[in-house]
Amino acid sequence: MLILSRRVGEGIIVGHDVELVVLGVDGAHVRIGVRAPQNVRILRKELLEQVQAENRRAIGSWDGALLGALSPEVAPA
Amino acid sequence: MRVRTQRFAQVETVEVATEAVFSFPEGIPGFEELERFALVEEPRFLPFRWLQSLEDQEAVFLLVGAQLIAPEYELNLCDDDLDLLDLEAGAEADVLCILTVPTGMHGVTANLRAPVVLNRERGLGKQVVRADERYPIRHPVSLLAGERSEAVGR
Repeated sequence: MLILSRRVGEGIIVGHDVELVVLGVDGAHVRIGVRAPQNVRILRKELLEQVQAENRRAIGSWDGALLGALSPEVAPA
Repeated sequence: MRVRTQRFAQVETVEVATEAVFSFPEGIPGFEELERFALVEEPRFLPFRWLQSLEDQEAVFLLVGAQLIAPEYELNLCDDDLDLLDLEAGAEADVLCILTVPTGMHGVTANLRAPVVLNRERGLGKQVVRADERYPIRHPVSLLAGERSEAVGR
């Protein structure tokens, strides 16, 4: 992993068109600005991890035998 | 094409049209190595569908149309996702969400944050993780008539 020290207001360029800027620091809290083209996906890492975990749960947890009891109607709870 | 699936706890084989085979070039989050899935659709189970991995028999997801869960559900794909799915901007695609069904069927949730988008014409699919925080990963849904009347009585 490349490790860089930055001060508030300083930035990092990634590739041609992605720019990260440190906007502020407050204790353990760091605000980062990201400037990138529309087609670049930007996600909080934990969101992707949550989706991965939910997919594993969706596969692993259900008792498929009970699905025979499914009603064809789905209503929001 | 015959596909082995474990959707009802025991292994069975179902017939799937070749058009129902989808390539997921990026896999699915948590299962990045799985790139080929069959969409199992049977009239008696609609609106439920299954997404069965052709590479791992145990990897099967229960799906339902996102708009059935959230009638106003809309999704704007970024250019990279449109490219991956070989979709034109503004084109129609199937937007489904994965249901998590815990043992006992209580606490069923739909993942509205990460819908599965399918381009049927091209046989391409992707689970898109949305940045939009209005849509939860675990949106509660009721699947059983009994559960529904319970909710009404409360």
